Amino acid sequence: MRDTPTAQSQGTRPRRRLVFDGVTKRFGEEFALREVSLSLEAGERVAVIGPSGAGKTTLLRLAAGALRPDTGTVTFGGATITGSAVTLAYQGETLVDRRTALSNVLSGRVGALSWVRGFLEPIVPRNPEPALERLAAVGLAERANVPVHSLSAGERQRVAVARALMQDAEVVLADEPTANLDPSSRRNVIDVLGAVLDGELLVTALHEVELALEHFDRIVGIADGRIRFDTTPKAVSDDQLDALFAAGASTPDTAARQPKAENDTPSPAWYV
Amino acid sequence: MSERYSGPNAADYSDGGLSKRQLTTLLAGCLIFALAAWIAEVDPMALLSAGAREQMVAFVADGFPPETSREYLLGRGLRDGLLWAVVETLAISVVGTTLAVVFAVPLGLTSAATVTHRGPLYTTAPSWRVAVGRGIYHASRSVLSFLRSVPGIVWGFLFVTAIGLGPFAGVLALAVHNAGVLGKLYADFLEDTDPRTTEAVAGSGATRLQAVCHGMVPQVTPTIASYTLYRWECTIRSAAVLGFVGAGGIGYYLVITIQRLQYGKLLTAILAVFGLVITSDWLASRVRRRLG
Repeated sequence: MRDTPTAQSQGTRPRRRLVFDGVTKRFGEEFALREVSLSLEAGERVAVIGPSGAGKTTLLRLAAGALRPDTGTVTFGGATITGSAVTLAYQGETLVDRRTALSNVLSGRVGALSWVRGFLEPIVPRNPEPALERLAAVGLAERANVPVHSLSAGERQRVAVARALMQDAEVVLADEPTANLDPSSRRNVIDVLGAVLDGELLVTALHEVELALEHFDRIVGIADGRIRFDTTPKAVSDDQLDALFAAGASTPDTAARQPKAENDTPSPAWYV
Repeated sequence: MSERYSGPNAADYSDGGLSKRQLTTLLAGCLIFALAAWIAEVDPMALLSAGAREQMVAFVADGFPPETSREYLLGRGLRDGLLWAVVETLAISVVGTTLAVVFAVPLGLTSAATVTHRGPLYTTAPSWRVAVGRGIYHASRSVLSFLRSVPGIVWGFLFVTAIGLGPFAGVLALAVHNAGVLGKLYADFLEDTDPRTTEAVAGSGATRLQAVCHGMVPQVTPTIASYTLYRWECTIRSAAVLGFVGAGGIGYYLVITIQRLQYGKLLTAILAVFGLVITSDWLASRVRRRLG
């Protein structure tokens, strides 16, 4: 919230809610989400779990305002989502490869620049201080000037998180921040996310159920675009998990919908 | 994802011989070639006739030794002589390409669907905005096609008629034609960028223009730089013939010496063009390595 920095530092921010109300989203003929209703509050740490293609990414992109629902509404604090209140940490492969970590993180806040200033950037560089702070927060301060393509997958993921943090948003969304990472990097990224936030609402799409149960206080299971359960980690039963991932397995082509390193082009469902 | 695999599989590689499909393709190719050759009045006998041979032998014999007089190479003043024409050709190509880039950048942006009306920047746009964008896109693509379809030398002739003889007409000719070529290239590259990267930048509350500048353009700058350099090499070869219509450069020497049957001087001019092409080739590869 760049326009209300004092409210943030004093912790007097009103507890606003992120609300999905009967949201349906289709890509062409295919349903990504059906009749999803969900209410999330500031301070909560929510993990959205489910099989590939269940609608996790669509849910986050709707919450970030990158997509509009076909029916239903997505609101934050009662208003339609605008760019700056909600931030989405996209996957590490959405960084600009040849640019440095610093320049990628700076791009997380070009919206705050006047359009003339945005043009001048190659000639008159912006103050790197805020970006360096974010990079330090994710433990990459000394990698700031390394081009992103020479960073490890885990480091790229953290750069993507730092880029999202540039907005000082009240809601931080993270799309599979642990995808393509080895186990220790996974834990590291989740720890970083937990450590840098302070009272914001965190919503993470996750593949790994164990990580979700261990680090989050609310678990939303979705499959085939529907919410199957929404509960605390302790209340999630093995039967529920089995049912959740079995439901996803019934649609054979779902794996193809996840843009992964081996297939670096976005899935057909990304835009229609 | 094995069920989505649609490339060649083992059945396409039967041992020995061509598949039915390959055979039809080959046959169709041969037919098209034969037809094209007939239209182009291809006649090998014309090349082998006694008259043709005599002419070519005479040409090569007359060409040796190539003209190397100081008068021919350096002329009588600063803007005179073959070497000056070489320098002028180079200058025309450099200024022409630079101007072409200046025109091609805005035209390339308005000709890329991902910039005007499609993809991540327009998921939440009102439909009238998409319609306007599509209009701009089609208009701008048509302009590019037109610029591109008129050959550089024809543009040269037009500009010579308009502003008179001289290298500036050549500069404009190259600029206009290559704006069409480069604009299309830039637009195609911009359409081929990763939409997720653009969306990630756009998501931070950036305007469309900012998302284009900071999310889309940086993805393609290295490719664009490399192709622009290649295009510059091409303009050197175009610039070498612009002199045919009086638009400056070494082409003037080529056409004059041919008309006056001064084959010694012609050979020198051809060698100069050859040197120019090799030099620019080398230079471009050096720059490319630095960019890489």
